[in-house]
Amino acid sequence: MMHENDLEFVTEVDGKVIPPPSSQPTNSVLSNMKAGGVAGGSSLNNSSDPTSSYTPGSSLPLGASFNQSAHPTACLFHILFKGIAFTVYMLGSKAMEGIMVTVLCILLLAADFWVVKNVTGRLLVGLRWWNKVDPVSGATSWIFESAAPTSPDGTNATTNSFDSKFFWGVLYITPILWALCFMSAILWLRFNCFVTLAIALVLSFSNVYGYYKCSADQRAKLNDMFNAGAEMGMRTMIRNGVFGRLGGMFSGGNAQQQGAAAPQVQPGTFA
Amino acid sequence: FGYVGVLQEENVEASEGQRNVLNQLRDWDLWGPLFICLSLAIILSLRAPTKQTSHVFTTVFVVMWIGSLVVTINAQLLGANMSIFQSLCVLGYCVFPLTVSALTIALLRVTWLGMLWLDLIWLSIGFLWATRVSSVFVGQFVKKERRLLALYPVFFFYLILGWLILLF
Repeated sequence: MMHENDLEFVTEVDGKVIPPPSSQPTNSVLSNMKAGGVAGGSSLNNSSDPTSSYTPGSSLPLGASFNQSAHPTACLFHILFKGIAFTVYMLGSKAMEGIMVTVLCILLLAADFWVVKNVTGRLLVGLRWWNKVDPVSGATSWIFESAAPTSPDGTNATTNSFDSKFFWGVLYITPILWALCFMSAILWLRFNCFVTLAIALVLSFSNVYGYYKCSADQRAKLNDMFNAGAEMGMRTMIRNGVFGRLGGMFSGGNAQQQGAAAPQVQPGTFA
Repeated sequence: FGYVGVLQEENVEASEGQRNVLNQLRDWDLWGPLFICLSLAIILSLRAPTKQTSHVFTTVFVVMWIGSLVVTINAQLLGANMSIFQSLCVLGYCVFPLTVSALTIALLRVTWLGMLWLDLIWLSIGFLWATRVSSVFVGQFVKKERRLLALYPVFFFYLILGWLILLF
């Protein structure tokens, strides 16, 4: 099946992500970023080099920081189908009939689900989840895997922190947005778009659930927050500043994922 | 024709061709049923009165997916251990003959063959074809005593879809 080919593909991708050992290009990228004038071509000389001076969690303007992404096309596709589907849903009834809007939205949402589940998750954060069918007994099982952080050369190919922030941010925002649309449709009693909304909610929630189960350290962080008790969580959040904490949760999770995933074997890790 | 056998035999034996198909359908995917559902819904809603297009679309879509889900859950409650997605996949693919008959009816409406009783013939061909494989699939997981209980919703499900096709 295609999953065997996937193994080679992923290690290949990990190899390509390794930046050149010199830190010179990264510094120039950083200085150019602050000047705000870098073409997209230098995006491969990015700050996934661990010795770079880029500190994860520092707030950079979003437009400039696209150059830090190791996979700009993946980021683009991650948001492309979702954005188009949302736009069609919002504005479509002005341009075409309701049923065309519905069909178009359904197709776009299905495409987006496939892209996020199979492509961008692997490329941006190194996670994947799928359903495995035992050919003998026909029993199905769900498998959640996360990539081992080291590549075959031995050098560290960490997941890019911008990629990770972007991926998780968009992933979490999508069902929230669609849930808001759903609420407003219920409030205004407009049920003609029920099918689109139902499909959007189901697909986006299932993606969130799948990737949430993949990412063990996200789980650990959320569990820590719950175990500490809501009050202490609130106190910590207020003390650290909410956004700083959330930013730290996304990017600090990376650092922890490298350290945590290396010694212990994730079930079903494909390294 | 296969139905009597399904109801009365101890273990449902799928024929060679059916067994091949069912084995291939073990690698379930929901893309096929999605496209079949979309095409059926589009065909029916194009023939509906203009004010009701979106209602028809929604009805067909909802009936197909919720109906498959209900049939699956019913079979699971009767003791069949099949995965939900696999059953959704098979039931969805089995709607294909009904789609074909809907297309036939829609195309023949504009010709002199477009009479109600001829529509019934196309529809019943599609219905029998659709229920044939799905009843074998569902029946093989359920014990003989409960098989009628598990198969009745399958028939009912395709009957509702056929009735919707006939309406529009």
